[in-house]
Amino acid sequence: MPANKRGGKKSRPSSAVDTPVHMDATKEIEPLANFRESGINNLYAVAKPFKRSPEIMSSVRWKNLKQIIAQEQAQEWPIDFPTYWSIDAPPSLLPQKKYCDITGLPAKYTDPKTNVRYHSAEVYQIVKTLPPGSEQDYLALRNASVVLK
Amino acid sequence: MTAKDRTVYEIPDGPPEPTLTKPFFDYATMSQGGTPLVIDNGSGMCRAGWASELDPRLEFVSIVSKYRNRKVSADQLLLVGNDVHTDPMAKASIRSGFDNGIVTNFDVMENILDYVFTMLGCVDERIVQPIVMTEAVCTPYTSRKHMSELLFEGYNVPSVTYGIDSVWSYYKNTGSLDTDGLIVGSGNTASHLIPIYDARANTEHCTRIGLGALSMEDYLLKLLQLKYPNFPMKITDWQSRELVKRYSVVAEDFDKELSCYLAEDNLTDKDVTVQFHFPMPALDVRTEEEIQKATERRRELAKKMQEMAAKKRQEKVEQRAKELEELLALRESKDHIEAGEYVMRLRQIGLPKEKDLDEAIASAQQIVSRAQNKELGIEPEEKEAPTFPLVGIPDDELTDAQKQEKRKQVFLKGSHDARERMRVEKEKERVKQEELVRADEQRRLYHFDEWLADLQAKRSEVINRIDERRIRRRDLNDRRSHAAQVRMRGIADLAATDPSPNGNGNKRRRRGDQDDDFGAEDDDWNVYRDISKETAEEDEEDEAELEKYNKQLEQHAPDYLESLDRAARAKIENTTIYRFSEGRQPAILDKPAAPQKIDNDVIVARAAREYQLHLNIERIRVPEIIFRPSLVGLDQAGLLETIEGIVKRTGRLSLVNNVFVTGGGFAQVPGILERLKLDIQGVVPVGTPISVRRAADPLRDAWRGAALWCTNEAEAFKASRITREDYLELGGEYIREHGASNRYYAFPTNTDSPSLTDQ
Repeated sequence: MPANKRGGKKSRPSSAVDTPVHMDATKEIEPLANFRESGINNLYAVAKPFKRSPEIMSSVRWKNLKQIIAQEQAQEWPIDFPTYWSIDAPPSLLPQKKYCDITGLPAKYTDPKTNVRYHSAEVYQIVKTLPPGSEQDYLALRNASVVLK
Repeated sequence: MTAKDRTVYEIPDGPPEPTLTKPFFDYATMSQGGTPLVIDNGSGMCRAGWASELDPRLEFVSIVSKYRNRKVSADQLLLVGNDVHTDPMAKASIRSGFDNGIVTNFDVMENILDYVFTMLGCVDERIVQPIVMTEAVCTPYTSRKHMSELLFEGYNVPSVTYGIDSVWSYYKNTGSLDTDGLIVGSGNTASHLIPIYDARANTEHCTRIGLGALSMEDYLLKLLQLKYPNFPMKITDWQSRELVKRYSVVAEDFDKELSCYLAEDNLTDKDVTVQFHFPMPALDVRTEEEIQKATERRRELAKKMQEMAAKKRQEKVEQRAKELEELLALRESKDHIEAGEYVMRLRQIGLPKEKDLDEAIASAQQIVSRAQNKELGIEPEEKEAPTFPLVGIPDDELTDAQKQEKRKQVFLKGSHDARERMRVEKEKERVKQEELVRADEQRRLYHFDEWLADLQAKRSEVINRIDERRIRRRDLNDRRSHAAQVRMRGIADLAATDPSPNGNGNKRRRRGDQDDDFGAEDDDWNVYRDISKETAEEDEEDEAELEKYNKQLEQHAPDYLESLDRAARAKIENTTIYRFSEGRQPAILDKPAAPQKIDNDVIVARAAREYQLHLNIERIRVPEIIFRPSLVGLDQAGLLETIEGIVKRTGRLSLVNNVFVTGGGFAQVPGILERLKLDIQGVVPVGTPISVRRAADPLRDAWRGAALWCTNEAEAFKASRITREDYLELGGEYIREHGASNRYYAFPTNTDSPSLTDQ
């Protein structure tokens, strides 16, 4: 499984560039009682006697949901067993009403040039004067913008 | 409706600065007898506490921040939950362990669990409490496996029970799971619909709509950014969340409400003005008295300056008089002293000839006498009209010298006559103007209406002209517009026929040179300058004229200008766009006709208005997304359609008699119960009993329900515990099913999938 390989050693997000998880960064560790009045201003600095040695734990600590789902979808699940992906609401079968992208009012018209839906001639004046590119911001509201890759 | 009776709601820049949360120190007493530890591990908020208590001990946002703050220490720091907001430095590295409601980052999860156990005051060698934890509906096995691994390996917990948060909330509010019902559990990122029958959560008929509290917050933020692209400050996520929480409402009938939302009365009712924090403008805080004093001081200063200047002038005149005396004395002395010495003296004062001396004396005399006259208030008398005696005499009667003199006189007479003519003309013009003004005045006095109508007509004519030019200028910006093309043609013609100062332009044309080398000469470009100057001059003229008319109207018909402004404002205020973005606020005119009084109050109000925004249609548009996910481009069935689907699939119409709404997302929005009821009524047979209710506390009831369930359903709880042995034997993804849990399917052991073993 390709996702497996990639998920091997280093699959943490870039933001997780920090010290290894189980090695607390602070050297001086104090007992909890020392924080009674002040509150804990650094969780690393508090003694955590309840924690066990972490060596046995799996190395993969982070994986995004898409990867997880892709991996699990590859398995054979019983047909009627509910899974994360099977309970997603299906596409709507009802006709979709159109609303003005600018004001949110019911939209009778669509500007053929930008695909922006608009409510009235007055709103169209706004559509006409939109700075180039910003019609895409309006379209992005309903996920209809053109995504350049 | 005036500005005063419109409520303005203020929104702070951010959440109130919290102080560090203090840990509890009663772990030893609380943990006696194996009281379960309940953790509602939501993607937005995490709640944790003892099952024996009514409320969770800890409630915090599910975020952590690992960061460095050189001011505090060189080491890395870690803050969790609400404490993250105590240090501004921590803001940049805030992270959540969740991805769409599922725990995916177990580094973060570990930090959160560390925090929970530490804050509850655990100083033991291991956690001896059974853990009760919520998880998402249909949590992927991988996620649960890691969670169990963390709990058993990292903290050595004796057992764990997983359950679905909204089902426990249902349990809390219904008292058991025996009553059939339909849960609408709306969380941070998604909303789940779970049918309850056969005394358990039937996840096999559950449906998830991928919209939650975050979706509303995002949507509103984007809407506002587009609505106010020039808003002077950045609207934060926190502010957007606050706005959703405070002002969003589910419409009972979306389309009907929408159609009249911007109508005057409705808007007055529903429009919300939100005031952001704004910088106070610099104000003139002097009192009336102080202002008066200041003008007085200024006036005195001017007076003093005038006096000084007069004194200086006086001194100068005196000096001149002295000089004059000296010069006169010199001339007198001519007869008494030797000629050589006299010439030398003349040279000394810079006058090489005797004639120069006379001239100097004459000019000095003139200056002195003029100054004296002025002082005495004597106007210089009109010079006598010069005579030109030689002009009328024929040339042959004159000597050569006289002829020369005559030529001079002819020339002088010509210019003198021209001056005279001009003067007369000017005088005539002045009289005519005066006459006009007088006539105007007469007309105003005796035919005021006519006069006013005339003035108004003239005024609107000027305004029309100005507007026309403005429109033309705007059109000219578009190269393809008719106006622009006409102008280009005009320029081309001009360039073709315009004679350049050195005559080059014409010569070129006459030669029939086909090559259009317009621009080769710098002078060619003057064409553009001439054209643009023209309009600017016209503008200035018209503005001045308008100003004049305004002054007259202001003086004699002040109501008229007011009414003009009123009409102009009304025209703006009644547009859809204005109402949408500015609500019912009075419009501010670019160029009001009537004079405006701008005092400190007005200045502050205007500055405040810069930092205001209006919520109107958004208030119903934002929560509507759960009913119409297509609004945000999500290709999923809406809430009602999904409920319909579940009722159809399960064949249990009775579910609609107990629709239970809970969670931190859409469940919080006012009006959702009424809307759901109405909508359901529309799709079920007439007379079907329908009941829709909300959890007593949509946020906390999941935790409370879980705690209550542990105590009241002790047997089920006992049976549901996944022990360390279960974990080791059956894997981390294993769960013991119970009424409030997800389903478990064990893969046949011989086809053990690699993805579920440790990678």
